[in-house]
Amino acid sequence: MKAQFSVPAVLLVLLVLLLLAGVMTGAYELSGTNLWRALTGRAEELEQFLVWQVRIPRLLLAVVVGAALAVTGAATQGLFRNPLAEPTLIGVTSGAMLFAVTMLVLSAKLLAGFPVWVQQISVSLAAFIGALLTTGLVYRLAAGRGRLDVTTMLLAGIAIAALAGAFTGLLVYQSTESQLRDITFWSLGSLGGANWTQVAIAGPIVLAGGFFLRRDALALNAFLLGEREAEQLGFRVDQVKRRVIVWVALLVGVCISLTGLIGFVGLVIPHFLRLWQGTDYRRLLLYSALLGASFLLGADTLARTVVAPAELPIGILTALVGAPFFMWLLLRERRKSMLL
Amino acid sequence: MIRGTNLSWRINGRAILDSVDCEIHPGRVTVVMGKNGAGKSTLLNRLAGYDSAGGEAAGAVEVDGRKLTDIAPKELGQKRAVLAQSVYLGFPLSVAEVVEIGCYGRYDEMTGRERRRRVSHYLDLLELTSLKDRSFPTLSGGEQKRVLLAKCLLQLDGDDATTNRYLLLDEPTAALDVEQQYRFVHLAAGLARERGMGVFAVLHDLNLAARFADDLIFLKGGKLVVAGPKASVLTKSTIRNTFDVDCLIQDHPRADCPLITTLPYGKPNFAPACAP
Repeated sequence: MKAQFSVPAVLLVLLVLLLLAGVMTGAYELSGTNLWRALTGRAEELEQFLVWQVRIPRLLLAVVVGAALAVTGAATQGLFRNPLAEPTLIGVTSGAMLFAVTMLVLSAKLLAGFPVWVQQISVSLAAFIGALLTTGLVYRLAAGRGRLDVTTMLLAGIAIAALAGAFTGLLVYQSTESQLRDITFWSLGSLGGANWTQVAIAGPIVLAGGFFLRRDALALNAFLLGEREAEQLGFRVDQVKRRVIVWVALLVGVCISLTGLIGFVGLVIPHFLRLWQGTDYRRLLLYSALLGASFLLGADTLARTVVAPAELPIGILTALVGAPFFMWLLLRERRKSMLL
Repeated sequence: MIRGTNLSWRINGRAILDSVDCEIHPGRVTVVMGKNGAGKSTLLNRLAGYDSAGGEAAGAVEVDGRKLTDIAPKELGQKRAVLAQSVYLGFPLSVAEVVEIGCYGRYDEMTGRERRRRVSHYLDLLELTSLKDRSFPTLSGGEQKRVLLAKCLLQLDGDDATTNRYLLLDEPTAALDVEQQYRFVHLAAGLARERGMGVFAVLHDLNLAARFADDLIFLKGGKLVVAGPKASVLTKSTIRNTFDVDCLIQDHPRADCPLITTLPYGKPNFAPACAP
């Protein structure tokens, strides 16, 4: 017998516990009392700064980005009716990568006289523009004759990703040692640069995206039976597809531009939840947001602590934890389906 | 009544459907027959109002006197439901979840309790209650068809009794065994007739059609061979002209309908179904 508990409550409690753990641990350990003092503004200046200007924005960014990656993963999988689908497939990531790398390589020449923060922002901005431009291109390729064909879109996404990958490779080949290091770190993702500005940019966009994607949950359920099915039920199929793609591109574009590439969240979290709680998108999107946030938060806390005072790139951890877990999930499912 | 006038659909100039007129009447079962590639499913897609991108469409469809293109998708979804030939679920849903999709068109008008009540009503009606938590893909072909029928009936379960409703079945018997074929058509036709719905079905089995149809439409190479009430169009010459086979039509010894035995003659005829 299954115990009776509310899934969102469990996920919420997990998130809160991880937030607490995250704010207390790190290169500088905080005790409970010190944390309380810092939160209520009665701690020393250093701890005050650490909690309010370093840890909390970073935790919040992890929550926002984790939620966004998991929700967009779930939405793309539903839209493409493909368990392997990830925002990567519609060209978001490859475009962001190409533009970010271009900026990383060129900024030394272009922005030589400017302060470092301008260079950082320019990389983020380039990644964001790249994400939207490539998605737009993939979309144009797939939307022939006034109708969006998701299979073509998938193939176009792969083609564009290969092309962008080639150009990225060319730039990497041209880059200097230190640029190469920047590129590698960027492609492994990090929440290291988190600050309140980033939270203020990503937070509202991700909230809005989550809200609007959730409004299409019924359509995404209908899509599971096929586009024709959704059409005959009365959904405006092309509009749904366009909306979902635009929001996915926007959310992932913003996240990638702030944190670099973080893999596996969008793939593992929705799958795990699907096997646990079923596919119904009315629940899946909310659960994905909560668990995705927890997953990235946990991964980031680990990334900050395992080799403290240094930091592991978070992309390494999400893959290191996510991939074996995913394999275990697949094996377990296979065994189960053989028993049935 | 759904009326299609002069319906055509061409891909690169080749006519898949060529100037076909047809009607679906409320309370009657209309069965369309023809060889593979005769345009049966295309005709159904046109009558359903599906997006016809990918080819050139001509002709017009009227639903109860209104042009189909003037009816909002949401309203159309409550006037006619299509039972697809085959459904592949992207990710598994439970039987109850699939049936519930039928009321998505009026989701906001119903409370959760009302939705659950209607879902369990149709699960009950189609004897699916014991399967309601099963994963849809693990069901047999016959059970899956029944789930989809429950979904379609729920979709057409409107509160406005004066509206005509239509159920379109695209090869509902494909991939079903002999017994299931009979049972399913019997069930679908019976339930729809009871509710005064118009049924439009693509069938391959002459005897199923002879038994359950009120009206028949015969297509060949995208063109209409003949259409009309069963008694007047179901003849040896119609079947010969449609399928290129001879047949024997007798009175069914046990039921009130014709019994058809096909008698393929000579060598099989592999001439293309849609010769120019």
